[in-house]
Amino acid sequence: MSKTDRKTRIVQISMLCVIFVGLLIYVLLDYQTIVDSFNKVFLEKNGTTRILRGLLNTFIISVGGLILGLIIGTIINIINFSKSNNIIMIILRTFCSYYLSIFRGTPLMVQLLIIYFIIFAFVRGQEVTIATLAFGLNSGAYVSEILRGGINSVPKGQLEAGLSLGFSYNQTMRKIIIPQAVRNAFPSIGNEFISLIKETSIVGFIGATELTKVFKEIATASFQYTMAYLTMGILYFLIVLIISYLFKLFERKVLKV
Amino acid sequence: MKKFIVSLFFGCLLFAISSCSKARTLDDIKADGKLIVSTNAEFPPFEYKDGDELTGFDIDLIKMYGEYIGVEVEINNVDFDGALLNVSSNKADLVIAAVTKNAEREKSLSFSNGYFLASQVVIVKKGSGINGNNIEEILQSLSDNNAVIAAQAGTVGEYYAKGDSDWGFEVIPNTTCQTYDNGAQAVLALNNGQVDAVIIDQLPAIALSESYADLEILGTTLTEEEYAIGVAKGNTSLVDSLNEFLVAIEENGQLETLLEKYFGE
Repeated sequence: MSKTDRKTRIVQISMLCVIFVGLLIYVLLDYQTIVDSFNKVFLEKNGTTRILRGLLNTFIISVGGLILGLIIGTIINIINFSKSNNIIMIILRTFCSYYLSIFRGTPLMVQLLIIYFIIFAFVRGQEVTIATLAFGLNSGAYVSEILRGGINSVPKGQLEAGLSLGFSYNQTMRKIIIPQAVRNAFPSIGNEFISLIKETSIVGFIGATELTKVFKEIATASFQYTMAYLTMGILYFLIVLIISYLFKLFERKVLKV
Repeated sequence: MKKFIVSLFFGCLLFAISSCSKARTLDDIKADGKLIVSTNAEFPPFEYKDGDELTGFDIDLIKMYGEYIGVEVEINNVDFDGALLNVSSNKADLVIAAVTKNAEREKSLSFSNGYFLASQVVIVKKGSGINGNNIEEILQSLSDNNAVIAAQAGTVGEYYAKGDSDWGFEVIPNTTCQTYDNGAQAVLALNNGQVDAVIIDQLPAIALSESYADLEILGTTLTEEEYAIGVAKGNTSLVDSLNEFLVAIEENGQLETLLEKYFGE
């Protein structure tokens, strides 16, 4: 460990200590209020159960959205990178380009409202499913761009080498380009997942219950907004921290990047 | 350096604790010349937007109060739950948004005397099979139909639909409650068939369902409640002044005129 490293480390640790001691003093000073507030937020009226249920919905919507997004993104890239030029492919390609520009050109919030109140106006009691669908459609547009970037990031020489070795275009894509493309695109997929998790906080607008909505409800009913909003923030932060750690781990161990 | 960081941190902490803003008394407001009001202008006829203009019974009432104590009125239009929290976090001096006064809310806010008698009603689709001639029958019918009930977030309707012991509302078996940010969205979801019923205050129910031919309001009212103006807990000078004002406009007939203007009765 060099001298500057050690210095950085000491400063970091002492900063953490200061923050910790500060929080401790704050907790001790206002112990009773904090306990009261904690009870109102977490213990009364099934607080914890409701929060967990909200958390579950947040997960369903973001994970479901990502999976749907990956499927849509993959399909779009297959369509766009295929060499065949018959009329159906042209129609599909045009359709994809419209889809991409519409979903990347409007806010997710607007898409959610339109999908829920207009397109799926006839569906009853399926708010979480509709939200998942909206998030999947939105994410599909972004994932498809991420994957395209991944494919384009593989040097052109690789394709040429594959072709000159006697592989067909499709074989070269499948066996040489795609494996490298996935590896390149993986970190961005992780980022997409994290932004999906954070964006789920808007689905309360269509009546679905997720983490933000539950904490808003609790804050309004109990007036304990400090405790409710801070815990909500910490929870999101922890989730994102864990997810990004898992993605890094996966990258290192499985993809060996 | 370390000492500097430590002292800076504690300085910030002390500042954060001490600057937890205090509710402004009547004198503070008069000295400032401005009364900050928070409301949720999605609740016709009490508060709504007429074009760009905020208007409604509550808005007129609070402007009258502004004149009464001789200050300018600044109105912040936010979500209903935000409107309540704005007052308890002292971002606004008072909330006037057809807020029902009750013991549960009085733990966190102080209220003026009531200025309007109100009640909750149920809006349903015509021929939906949800009906009843009294509260028990309506609740039974909601339960029999496994109804999805919509309400505006943070309002009495939500607590009624979910069942809330602090409000004295029992859980309605076999029903679920879904909340929206405003009453209009809840009514839209009802008209779409995405929910089966909406529980909301009576006059907004009439105003919001007017434009939908397929909706009807059940005749029985579910609750008896009173709207009041909410201020930060313990801000007695402001409560006293509001109560004085409410008595004064009742005596000089201004309240009567205002009621007639909006409700014509």
